[in-house]
Amino acid sequence: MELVGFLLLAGATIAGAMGVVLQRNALYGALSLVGVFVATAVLYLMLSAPFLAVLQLIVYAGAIMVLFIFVIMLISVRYEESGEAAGVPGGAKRYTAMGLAAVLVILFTILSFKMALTPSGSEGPGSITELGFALYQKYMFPFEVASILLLVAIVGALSITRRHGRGLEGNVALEEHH
Amino acid sequence: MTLGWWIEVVVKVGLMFFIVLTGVAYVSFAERRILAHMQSRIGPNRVGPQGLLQPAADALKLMTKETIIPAAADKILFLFGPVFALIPAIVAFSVIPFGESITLFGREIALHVTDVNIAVLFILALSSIGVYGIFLSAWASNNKFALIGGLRSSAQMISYELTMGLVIVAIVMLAGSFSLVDIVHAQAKVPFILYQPLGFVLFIIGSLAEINRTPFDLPEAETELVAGFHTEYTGMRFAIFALSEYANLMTVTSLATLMFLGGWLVPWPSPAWMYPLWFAIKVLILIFFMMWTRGTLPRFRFDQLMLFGWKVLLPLALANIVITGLVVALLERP
Repeated sequence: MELVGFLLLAGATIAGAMGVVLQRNALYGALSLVGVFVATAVLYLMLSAPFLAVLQLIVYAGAIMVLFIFVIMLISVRYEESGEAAGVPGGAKRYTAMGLAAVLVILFTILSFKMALTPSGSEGPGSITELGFALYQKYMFPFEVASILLLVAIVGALSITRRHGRGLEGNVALEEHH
Repeated sequence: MTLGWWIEVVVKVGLMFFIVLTGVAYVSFAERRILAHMQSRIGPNRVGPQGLLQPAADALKLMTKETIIPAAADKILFLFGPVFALIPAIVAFSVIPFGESITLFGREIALHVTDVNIAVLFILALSSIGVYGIFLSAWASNNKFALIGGLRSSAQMISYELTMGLVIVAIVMLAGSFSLVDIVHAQAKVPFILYQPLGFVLFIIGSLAEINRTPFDLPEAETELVAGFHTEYTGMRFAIFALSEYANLMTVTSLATLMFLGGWLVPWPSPAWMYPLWFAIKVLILIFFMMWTRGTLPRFRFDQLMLFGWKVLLPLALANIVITGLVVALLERP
């Protein structure tokens, strides 16, 4: 039972990962990635780590992928206007879309059921207590280093996107509203 | 997993669906009547006594309407989009407890479908998945108004979800648990709204934005975007969006009640069977408050929305965490 579940989920994860690379349409690629994240979350649940599973959903599926799709939607407006979207034959597109949507719905369902059936004590490996001690005591230093690394990345990204010699007021998005 | 377990689960799930669906029907009806009163109109009062059968009539009407699929739409995603909006909205309700466990037919029955000890985070995760429903439908519609609505909703939800998450951190620090039942028990003496007045305000603002209600209804701003992300939807699929929106409304108000208003606990002695009633009353008060804001406040402009979310709410929520953390740490160490 456990092995079957694992094989199915691992299969879904790999199929999703392949989908990310093979999809012509960027949005379907992003959706495949969402599928990968949800499947990974269920795998975490099977390892009885519900906290990690939920974080996986909130951070990756909920925040990062939303930003990805945000960008894709902004770009694909122009992409479709220029008429290049017609490169993929209609039939294949339809089946991949249907498959994707069905897989996502099934994964959500499995996730909800698995969530309900996972015994989730606050003690033991995979629990929040355990994770907290690991992060803030045992691996305190690497954890802080990682957060500083992220901070540096943010500052770097900001300085790349900022135009020279102008403050925040020169920002394009803001300018449109003035 | 005995037979009794299965019966309990099936009955609970059925009951939950019943509560969510009738709740949604009558909350939306109540909203129409209450808004009508606030705007000196009468509102729907023709079908049944005081218009009470209006939701049923609406459902029948919407179900018999034609589903129109725009020629340029991405068909499959267009049809599946509303499903993605509905599933998280309904599943989220399954971890909301209504009261203490009761003993029925010799079984101890907890008053929620399933006990997840990270219930708060689970709801947050589901609400962040719920946004896919909105912007997949928006994208699939291949309509510029829908697309703008979808973009707005994703930007808005990411920004305000952060605030909500940070407020929840402060509550979890006070209660010492992610379980909603434990959080309610931690408020046996004092409801957390007294310890966390700022947190409560931030949470209510964040949840108004999270469920796209006025003054944050930019994704479907009808004065500028026709109907925003659901411009192209008709019939039952259109209704599903309204359904999930009201289901989300019930979920966030329940969450606010459990985290800030002491859940089903009241300051005076009360028998255990009254608990669900107190809980429902508190939730209904919050829902009324949200209708009231809808009848009162105008809509934000998009840049105001972003600035408010990132430059006002987020720093306040962070300050709230720091202060709460300091106080908890000082009080715990004598």
